[in-house]
Amino acid sequence: MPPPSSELTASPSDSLPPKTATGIAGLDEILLGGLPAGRTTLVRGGPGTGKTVLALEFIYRGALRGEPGVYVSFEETVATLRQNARALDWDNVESLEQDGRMVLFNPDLPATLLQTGEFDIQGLLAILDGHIKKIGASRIVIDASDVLLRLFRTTEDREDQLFLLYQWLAKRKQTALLTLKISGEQPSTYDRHEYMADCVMHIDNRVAGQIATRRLRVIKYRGSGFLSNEFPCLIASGGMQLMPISRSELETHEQDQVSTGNSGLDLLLEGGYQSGTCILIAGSTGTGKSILASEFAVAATQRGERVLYVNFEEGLGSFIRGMRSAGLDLASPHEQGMLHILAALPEMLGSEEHLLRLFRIIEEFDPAHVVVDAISACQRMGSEAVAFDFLVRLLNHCRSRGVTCIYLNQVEPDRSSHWISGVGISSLIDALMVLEQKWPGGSHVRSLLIIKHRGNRHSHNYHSFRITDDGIVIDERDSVSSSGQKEPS
Amino acid sequence: MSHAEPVAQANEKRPAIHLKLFVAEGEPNSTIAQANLRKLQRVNFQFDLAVEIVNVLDDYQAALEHRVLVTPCLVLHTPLPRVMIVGTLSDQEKVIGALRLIEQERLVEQEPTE
Repeated sequence: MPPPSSELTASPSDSLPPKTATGIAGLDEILLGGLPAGRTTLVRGGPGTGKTVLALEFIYRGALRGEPGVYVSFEETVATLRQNARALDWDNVESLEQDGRMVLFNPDLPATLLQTGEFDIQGLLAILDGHIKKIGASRIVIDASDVLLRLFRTTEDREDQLFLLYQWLAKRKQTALLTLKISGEQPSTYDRHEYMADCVMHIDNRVAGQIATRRLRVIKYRGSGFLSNEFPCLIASGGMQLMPISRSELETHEQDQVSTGNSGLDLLLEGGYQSGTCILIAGSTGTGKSILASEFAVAATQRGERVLYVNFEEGLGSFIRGMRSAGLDLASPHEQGMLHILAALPEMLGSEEHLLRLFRIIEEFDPAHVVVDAISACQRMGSEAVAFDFLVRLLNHCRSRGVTCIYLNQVEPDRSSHWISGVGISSLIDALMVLEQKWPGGSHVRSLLIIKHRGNRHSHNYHSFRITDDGIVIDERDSVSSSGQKEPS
Repeated sequence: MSHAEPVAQANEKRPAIHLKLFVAEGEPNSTIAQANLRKLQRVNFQFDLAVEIVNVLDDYQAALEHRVLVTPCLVLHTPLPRVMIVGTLSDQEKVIGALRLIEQERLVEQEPTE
């Protein structure tokens, strides 16, 4: 196990093994260059974690940069693979196949096999050899290698075949990527797998605080260092994206807490928001998300920090009037040029144009913070995938400039399990708050819950609040839930 | 077999069963399978066993065409239905059964009685 204190398990040096860049956004940084060239890497994880996308993208990026590759899937048909590629906006896969730059191959495994005596995977290897020679491949993927091994009944047979496969790959100097589906307990065959591979990566899809997050972790890399954290992992149009944010980068932001503009919330967050991070505020309509964001905006401009408020829900006039009724004066900072309110209809432009426009404004206006009200409306730019792509790219752009992102997300009432549904960016969120409202016995009760605040202490209770003429007032009396005492966090 | 006929004469009339044995030449399992198949050929059936040995290391297209991923692999392709047996063919009874050699033999035997 690498020491948890250090980012690098070994310093990069001249003795590093030769590497093959995968071309996957963020992954090569984590692997300090790429996969071990001419050697075998294992990607393991549960179903639906994105192993196939990663593996397919490895072949696709290789084909684009003149390193032909063979993709063997024991699970999906060639037609499905092409469909997956199109869904990721890789429109040229079929022409790459025709040009002999990549081969997609789905061996037809017999459902039942009449068997008498021992056998081995030489037939498959011969076919692969043929494909490799035909296109001069240097990359190969064997997706769902577990399915192939299931042809063999005993553990010894499986291990023998695995050994045969690894030896064969090594002899052909292929930069190989094998995927292995694991669920629950790990049979010992998998240990052999990991022992034989030169590099092992693990992807999982965990649900914590009702937020599903894909994460990738490098388990081992023979002869090389790697970034040893868990990295959020996204699948958006264009392919897989990993965020190689090192802990040290996060730490530099930690000192920089800024007031939320609401003294009650500052107390609950033990200081305020961390500038340069991403804060997600979710809640159904009328819960006070925009007010909370506007309070922050007003306070920031008073500190001399410029704020860009992108409003996809309301026009400029009605937004300013609405906030005035909650005691917030947005007109003044707007006129002073400290607050830039951009009211836009999501469907007016494509996501690309929206993004370019925002990048331009961020460049010229140079805000310290950006509010997007609300990210749920971004689906109207086209689709969920488009919205996702837009939000991730905006977030990355802001993050690289140290700009705080406050994303508001409007969710359906009483569907708490779908708080973040439809935008799937939760893995990139540093802080998450949920606003709820209920009408017990005819009275209107609003409450706020902080679900996460990365790297910081925060309250873990529900706190009731009111929307007054003077903004949001969080009740001094603590929790409204029956969960009892405030935790010492 | 009770109804042993002169071989030369039988070859002219007996229908043939076409088999392809896919091997990885030189691999132990493949070598054993070839020997076991030769033993089977020496048994006198109602059918001729027309055997073609395909070395997948030389001819991967044939393996691709016949969807042969593992070797050794014996494929019966005429008459249909197609049968695929993998392994060293060590259990001769099983192979004979799978290739329908017995069943077809019995059918032929039964015909005169009906």
